[in-house]
Amino acid sequence: MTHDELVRKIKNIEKIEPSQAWISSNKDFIFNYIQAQEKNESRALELLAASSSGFFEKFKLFARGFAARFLLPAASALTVVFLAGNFVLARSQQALPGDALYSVKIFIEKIEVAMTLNDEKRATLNFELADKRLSEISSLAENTGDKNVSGPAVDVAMENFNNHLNAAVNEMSDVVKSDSSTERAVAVAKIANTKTSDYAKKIAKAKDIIGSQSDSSAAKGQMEETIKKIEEVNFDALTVLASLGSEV
Amino acid sequence: MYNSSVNQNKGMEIHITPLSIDKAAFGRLYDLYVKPIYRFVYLKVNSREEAEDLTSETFLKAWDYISKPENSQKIRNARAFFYQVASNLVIDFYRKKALIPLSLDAISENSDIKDEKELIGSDKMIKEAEMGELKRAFRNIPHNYSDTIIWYYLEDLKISEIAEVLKKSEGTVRVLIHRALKALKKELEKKHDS
Repeated sequence: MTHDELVRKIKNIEKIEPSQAWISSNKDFIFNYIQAQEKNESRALELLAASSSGFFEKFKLFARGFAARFLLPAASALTVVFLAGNFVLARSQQALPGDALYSVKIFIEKIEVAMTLNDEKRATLNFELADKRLSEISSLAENTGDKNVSGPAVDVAMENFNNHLNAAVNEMSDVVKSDSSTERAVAVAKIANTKTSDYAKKIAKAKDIIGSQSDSSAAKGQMEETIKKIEEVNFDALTVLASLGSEV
Repeated sequence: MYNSSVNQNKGMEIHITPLSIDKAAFGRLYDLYVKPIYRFVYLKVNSREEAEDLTSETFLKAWDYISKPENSQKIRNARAFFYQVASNLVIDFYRKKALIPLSLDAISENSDIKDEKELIGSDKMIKEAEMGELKRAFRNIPHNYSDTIIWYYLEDLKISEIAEVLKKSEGTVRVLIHRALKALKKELEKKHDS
């Protein structure tokens, strides 16, 4: 192959371009982001644009304080979500760990949790989000077929799962300790009992999926730890139900 | 605000003045660079969707940086800057996501074709095959080689601009271009022979 032939082949790449529809909708998204930033809703947008290495740390600091949680105006958070554009939001819901929009998906879920003021509902939401994380692992396996599931991607999903599980357990504990009605505590404990039984099965299945991979020992170890944690949470939920005189 | 000698020819440089860039100016930069940045990223990732996401992220990160006056002072060449951001994002992308062995079928997936201008009949098949081969070859040579080829031969960046992006001397860049082309040729001939 001569130099000129090679250069001609390379020049063919000029034909690659994105669709005009995407160019326009992406521009809208970017300028919505800029506009929201200018409206001084920078806190939420900082999290949206933050790299993953700083994301969870920043968000924990943000959400930890009682005042911080209630100072985030619901309208402000909704505005951020709205301005991000339906295109990106819709796409982010399908994102899996490792995808560029996965952090957007997680961020939107965090807003949803922060905006849920009732601790019983927050506990329920966190249990559901934990479930979602396990479904992502199954999806990762399905998407790669018989190829190896990405170890780091599984790690991200498991870390997020553990975050949600821990949050749900804390909320459940708050509900049980509060002076409010027994019914709320029973409701949360029942959800915890059902969900944790389900989690154990899903994680066992995920362990099988990655078990045959040569580099799976770290991920398997983490999953085994998580299964132990789930068993503890399940036991706690059953204890709560028994102590409140409720049937499982 | 920016000082520029902008025209639609890709060879022109755009310099950003020390004032913070406004939205209208950033919009013009977007219009000018979205296609080349997309093309650059597309050659390095598995799918059109990933290319779109990373391209979008490139402009978001660029805005976050450029919009601060103290940062925009440091940028002398907007095109080089955008390529630098995109290049770093691709590297981060592969760091976060373990490389999943990609089947050759996946590389020549139909998503390539949707991005090409309409071709007819057997021409289309030949072009599809050539594009698939090229993409495979690009993925099999080092990142800095593929980057350099794209910048020099496709985007007509000057040696000095490439040197600025890579933070190397112009002499080093000339050597790099030569080696990159040689490596690409070897990959293409390897595939052709097999």
